Amino acid sequence: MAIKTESLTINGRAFTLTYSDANRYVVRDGVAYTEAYDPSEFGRVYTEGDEIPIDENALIPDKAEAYDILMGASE
Amino acid sequence: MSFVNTREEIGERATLDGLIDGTLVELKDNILTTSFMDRALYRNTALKTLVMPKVLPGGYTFSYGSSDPTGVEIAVVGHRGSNQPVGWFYYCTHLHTLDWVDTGTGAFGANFAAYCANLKTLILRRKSGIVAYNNASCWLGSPLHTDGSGATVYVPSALLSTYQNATGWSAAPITWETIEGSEYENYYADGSPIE
Repeated sequence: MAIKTESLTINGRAFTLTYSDANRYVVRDGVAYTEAYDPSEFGRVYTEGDEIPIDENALIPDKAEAYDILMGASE
Repeated sequence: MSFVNTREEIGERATLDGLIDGTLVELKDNILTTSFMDRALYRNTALKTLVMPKVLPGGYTFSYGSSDPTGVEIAVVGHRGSNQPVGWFYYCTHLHTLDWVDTGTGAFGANFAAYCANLKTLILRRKSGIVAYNNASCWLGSPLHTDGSGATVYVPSALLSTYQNATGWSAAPITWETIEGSEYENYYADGSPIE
């Protein structure tokens, strides 16, 4: 469980990508990111945060179907 | 059939009926400050313009999944407080302009504008500090994602440099413009004057 960084170039500018290898947020200044792209010259440092929750998207189709049943939607 | 509904012209009942039966094309109200319930505008497929700068959308206000149930093209909505709005415009594929009337402090939440494939103009009116780009899922599948096709974002001039060097924003394919001196300085995205 650790914070990982990668260096990359986007449109000719050097960036650092920061993320957790343990499905956790990376946190800086009270803001939690799933991944953070920063211009490398700023040297921003992150701490590991809470676990990233299961994407609610995965639950939406089931909720939508239940809603349709309740509302009597036609096919 | 289309209606332009305002509180003064037709009244609240007509607007409510239009929302319930899905015939409403425009919804404009600059007085209401209450919040939408989650999924409130699901299936309002005729709705193209929403201008409610003082109302807070709920979670996944316009959608319930990936079937793009709403046709909203222009949205002017409010945000305040520290909450992170989740999925408010999820899969709104017709949305091309979002005017974020923000007096709060919270960042964008997960899936905020995910799969808004045509969102090419974003206006961020918060003056007290930048709105954090936040999670990757916020903009997934939209022109504002790191891998997106690019969009124009209007911000207060005092925050322009901060946005250009901010986490996430700095890496996104964004053309930055200032609100001051733009068509949005005194008008919301739908052309109505800012009061």
